[in-house]
Amino acid sequence: MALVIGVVAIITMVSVSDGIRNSMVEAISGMNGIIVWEKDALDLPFSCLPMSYEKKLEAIPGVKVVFPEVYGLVNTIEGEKPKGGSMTMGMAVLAGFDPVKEQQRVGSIYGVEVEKGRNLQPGDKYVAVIGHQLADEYDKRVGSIMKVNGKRFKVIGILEESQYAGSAVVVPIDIARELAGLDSDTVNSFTVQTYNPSDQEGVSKIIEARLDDVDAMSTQAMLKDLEEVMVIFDWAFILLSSISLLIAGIGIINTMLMSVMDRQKEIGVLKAVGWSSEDVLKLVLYESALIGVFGGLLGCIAGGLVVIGIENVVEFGLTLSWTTILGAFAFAVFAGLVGGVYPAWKISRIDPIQAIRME
Amino acid sequence: MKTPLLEARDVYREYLLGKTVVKALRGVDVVIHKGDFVFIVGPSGSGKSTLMHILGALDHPTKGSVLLDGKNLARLSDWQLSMVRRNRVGFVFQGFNLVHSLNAKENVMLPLQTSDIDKVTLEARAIKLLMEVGLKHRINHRPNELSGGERQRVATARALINEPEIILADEPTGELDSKTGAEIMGLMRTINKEKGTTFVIVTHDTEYITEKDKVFRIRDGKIIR
Ligand SMILES: Nc1ncnc2c1ncn2[C@@H]1O[C@H](COP(=O)(O)OP(=O)(O)OP(=O)(O)O)[C@@H](O)[C@H]1O
Ligand SMILES: [Mg+2]
Repeated sequence: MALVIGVVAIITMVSVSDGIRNSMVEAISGMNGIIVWEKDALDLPFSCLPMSYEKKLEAIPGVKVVFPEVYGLVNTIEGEKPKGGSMTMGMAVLAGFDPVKEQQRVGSIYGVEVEKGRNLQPGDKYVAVIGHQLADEYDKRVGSIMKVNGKRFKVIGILEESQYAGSAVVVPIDIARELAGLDSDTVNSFTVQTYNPSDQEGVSKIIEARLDDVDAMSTQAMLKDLEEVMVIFDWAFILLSSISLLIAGIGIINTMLMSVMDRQKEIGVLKAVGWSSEDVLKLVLYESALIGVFGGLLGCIAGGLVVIGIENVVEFGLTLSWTTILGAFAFAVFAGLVGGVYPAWKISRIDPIQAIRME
Repeated sequence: MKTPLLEARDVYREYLLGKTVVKALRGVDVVIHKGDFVFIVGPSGSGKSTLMHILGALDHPTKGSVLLDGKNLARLSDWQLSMVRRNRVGFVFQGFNLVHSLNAKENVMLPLQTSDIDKVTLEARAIKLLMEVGLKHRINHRPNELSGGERQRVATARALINEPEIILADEPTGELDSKTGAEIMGLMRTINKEKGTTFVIVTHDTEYITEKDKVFRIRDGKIIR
């Protein structure tokens, strides 16, 4: 039935949109700073900047700390391609951070705390802090040995559960350079933290002015951009809901019309024995709202299963909230009521005499 | 003189059937007083049912007027007319017109289902009426599980649920054997005597008519003497 499908569509759509919004917000606010990378680079791993920029960035007023970063892909774990389940949005990320600088980090890696073990420390070599999912998938504990891209690493820390960093492998920056095949005086990007978060935008502008081959994007600005993108999602959602409402409404009009036309004689008898047109109207509206309630319940159950199903297969971070479910349910009841108006009005005007004389 | 309970004055009712005009009633005058036991007799197609519907605030005259307590029904709104049917009139239709999906008790409760009376009281009243018409064992039966005479009794009980001042019964004994017919008719006379309810009954069976009853003979949409 159209109504059930509509409810399922809305629940899935909102969950996807909420999920994307949540994981993006989590990821961005986790980075907490200004990301500096090569101008017009496709993505962080494709960007390449000289290490000498570190000093230049530190010289900018308001800058507290500059983190050089190396990013690469995890090609093999324990000699094999990473297992499907351990990948966030299709890949496992290798991150190289400077152990000395890590001591100054305010907050945590990607906004995710090290849950067990410890973060990188100066002097660390072939050690790794790994994502929660990886640890589960490969049954690793603090102290375990894990082979990444052919090299043996000692697991020193495990990150808390998170959407974004579940399959990250964080290693000392020199080691990451080696694995990614990067020169010792280059990095992929810098993350710049300011003393005051509200300085982020101003500092970004100064960075772009002083170093003309970089892009500087503050997480603050990214969050703003994200909101703009999500507005498009919201509109798409409103459009989809309206279409669903329309289709579901037509479905209910059709169902109810057939149902009342089948009962013309009985409804005429009701009027003949003293029911007013309003009584009949209420009866039919009640019935169609009931269809809405049942369709809504069915749709909510089916929609919930679809979302849980999708989440189990792809771990996309879909977020199913009670607000979504209640909203979709209210939508169904509303569609039921709206769809019942015309059939109710039509049958309530039936001439009782005609019904009485019907065979 | 006392105001009649129900009065039809020079009532005409015409139906448009395609392009031909069917004149079901042509100038009917009827006066009914409170407590009357009235018979309407006449051949098939003479306009008996039409007159009953008009008297019961179900149908409107094309010309002429119907007065209830001296008040013209034409002045009432659609909603007020349904309140007249719900609160003052009990109808036993030709061919019963029970609702097939509901059982005997529910059919009897039907007229007051949307009123303010609470369901428990209403249900008790329906069961009491079904017992009075001798259907103690058929309370939860559906119409298709009942005999013609039993359906007739359910229809009669339904007409009584709102404790109406006037009951309009269209051929209540038409499809019954003479014994059951006499029983139903006896039941109506008892109610007329005990509660003072006014009865207007359409019938072919002149044997039920006594000298004290008021009789209107109708032919071709006119009352004849
Ligand atoms: N809706 C209608 N359209 C056209 N003609 C109608 C309509 N209703 C009734 N008639 C005609 O009006 C006339 C009177 O009908 P009515 O049902 O009042 O007769 P009746 O005396 O009750 O007959 P019976 O004894 O068979 O029940 C009939 O000729 C009938 O065909
Ligand atoms: Mg008739």
